[in-house]
Amino acid sequence: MKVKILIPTPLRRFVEGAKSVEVEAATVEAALAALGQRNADLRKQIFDDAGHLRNFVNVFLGDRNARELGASLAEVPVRDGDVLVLIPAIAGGTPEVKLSREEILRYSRHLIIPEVTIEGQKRLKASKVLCIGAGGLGSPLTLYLAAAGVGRIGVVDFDTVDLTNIQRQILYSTGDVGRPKVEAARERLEALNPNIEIVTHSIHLASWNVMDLFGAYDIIADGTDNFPTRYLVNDACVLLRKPNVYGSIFRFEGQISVFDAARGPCYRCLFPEPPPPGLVPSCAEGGVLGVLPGIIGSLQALEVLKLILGVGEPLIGRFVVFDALDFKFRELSIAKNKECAVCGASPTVTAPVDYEAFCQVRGAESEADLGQASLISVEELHQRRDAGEKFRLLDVREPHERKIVSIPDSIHTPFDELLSRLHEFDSADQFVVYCHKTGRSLDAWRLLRKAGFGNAYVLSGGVDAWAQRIDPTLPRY
Amino acid sequence: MVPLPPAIETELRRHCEEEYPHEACGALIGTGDGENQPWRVEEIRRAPNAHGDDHARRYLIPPAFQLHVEKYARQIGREVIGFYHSHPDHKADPSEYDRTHAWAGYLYLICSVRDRKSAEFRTLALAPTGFFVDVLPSR
Repeated sequence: MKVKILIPTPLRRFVEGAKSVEVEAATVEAALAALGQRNADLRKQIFDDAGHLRNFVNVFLGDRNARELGASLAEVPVRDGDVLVLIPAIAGGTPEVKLSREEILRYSRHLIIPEVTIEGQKRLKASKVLCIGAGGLGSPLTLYLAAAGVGRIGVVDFDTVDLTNIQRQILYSTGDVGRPKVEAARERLEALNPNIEIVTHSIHLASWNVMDLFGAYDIIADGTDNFPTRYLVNDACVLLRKPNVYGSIFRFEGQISVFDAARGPCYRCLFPEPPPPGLVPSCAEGGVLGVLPGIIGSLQALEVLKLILGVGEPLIGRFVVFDALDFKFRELSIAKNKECAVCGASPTVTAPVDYEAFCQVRGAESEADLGQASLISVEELHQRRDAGEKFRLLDVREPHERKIVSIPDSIHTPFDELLSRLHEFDSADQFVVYCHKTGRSLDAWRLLRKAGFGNAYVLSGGVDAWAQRIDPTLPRY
Repeated sequence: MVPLPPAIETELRRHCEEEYPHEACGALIGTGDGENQPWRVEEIRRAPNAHGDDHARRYLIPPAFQLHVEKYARQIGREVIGFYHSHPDHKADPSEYDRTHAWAGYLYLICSVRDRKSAEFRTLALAPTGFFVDVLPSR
């Protein structure tokens, strides 16, 4: 049989520059052997010492890889006029990551674990992890990732360090109060491990910047404390096919999971809609036990390292709730939702969107629908009370908050009890409602207005503003 | 360095940036052999990265893609003269892995990408010694 063999560029120098060679043969193997006989160097290029076609050389018969056409090339017959195409394998890659002597010593407790070894440590060094939020969860997360030698750690946070953060955000020291978080975080992490790169992003995460930012990282770790960002992070991770290592905390309870839409459900499969505004308080409103974010953030760091190393069972399709008071880890199985708006069969979310409106963050929305006339400043209240005007000053906070600080001559009814105790009040009186800042007092004001209390005001900034501007001897929290 | 027509350089850089932090790879189509006739890149074709696990550090061009692009080049009277790939967050210097997998006779272009922005690139060929040398514009 007369067969034509097309010669790829790198092999033509062995056949006087010919683009193709014609040989007589009955099988693919015989055809290649006939080609090899024309030049000993060419034979060495395509056959190994045992006479087999090297595995980095492919041969196509028509459109089919000849290796797939028979158990061996000797069993693949050729017909008159067939065309064989030699295809050299093309591969390569980035230079190896190297560990210095200092790094080998530093990571020695990793290197001796059979599941990590020097190969795993190099993977850690070559990986890029973005941490959203440098707060309670972000603190242990970034500290452990930096200590473990993750080569590039991105930190997103727009805040400055506040004294109320220090109780749980172990990235910062008391001396850092007032500094931008990313600046203080960089200093701490670089001091911890000078072999890695810390990239700081002092930005508000938004639909217009999230894709570019996430695109440059392998894994995203979400340690945010608000729903708009959580949904934005989830959607961007699904769209970019990046795993999202999720953690969240509230008072004595923590949650953790790994959302990877390519291998399991996403956050929206579990929670298609955010909760109604105001139902879930933030740490500032609800409080959190200082050590709890330390536990959940450390577990997030663990899951990140497992994903990079490819060891163990990642927390994909599993949602773990940690109850610190009972000391119970409850594991829930979660499935992918075929109807999911972002990772389902026919998604309606195909680009990141900003969720402020969707999640209706309390505050921005509520202040807007509140007439200026119903807000009273701490200064105005102080002056008018001094001038002898009568106000029923109503504190709607919890009893334990009232023990920290309260405004003199105020009455107390926690918001949850307000509705059932309205009969205790006279709707003809002039009311000023206050809470810690302004959140719950707005809800209380609405409730009073609906119940026919026409003379009700909200104390703008709450007891916190009073302690700052009227009586600085009072404690703040 | 083998000069690239501006439109092709733009397309190549865009591909490398789009794949970041993974490696981009593709075929260089044109004329020349780097010996008797200098290489001239006239077109590029994006290839899928078929490497099994580590797309951030490795690339493998699927043989079926090569077959397809070889056919296409022949149809328009050109050749597959070489291949390009990116080095995310690394210099455009060839790695040992690049060297051991290279074929003499092909032109290799490596483009560095840092933080999703393409940076310098090098055009290289395997010398008879088995090591890469930069290709001069005249080759």
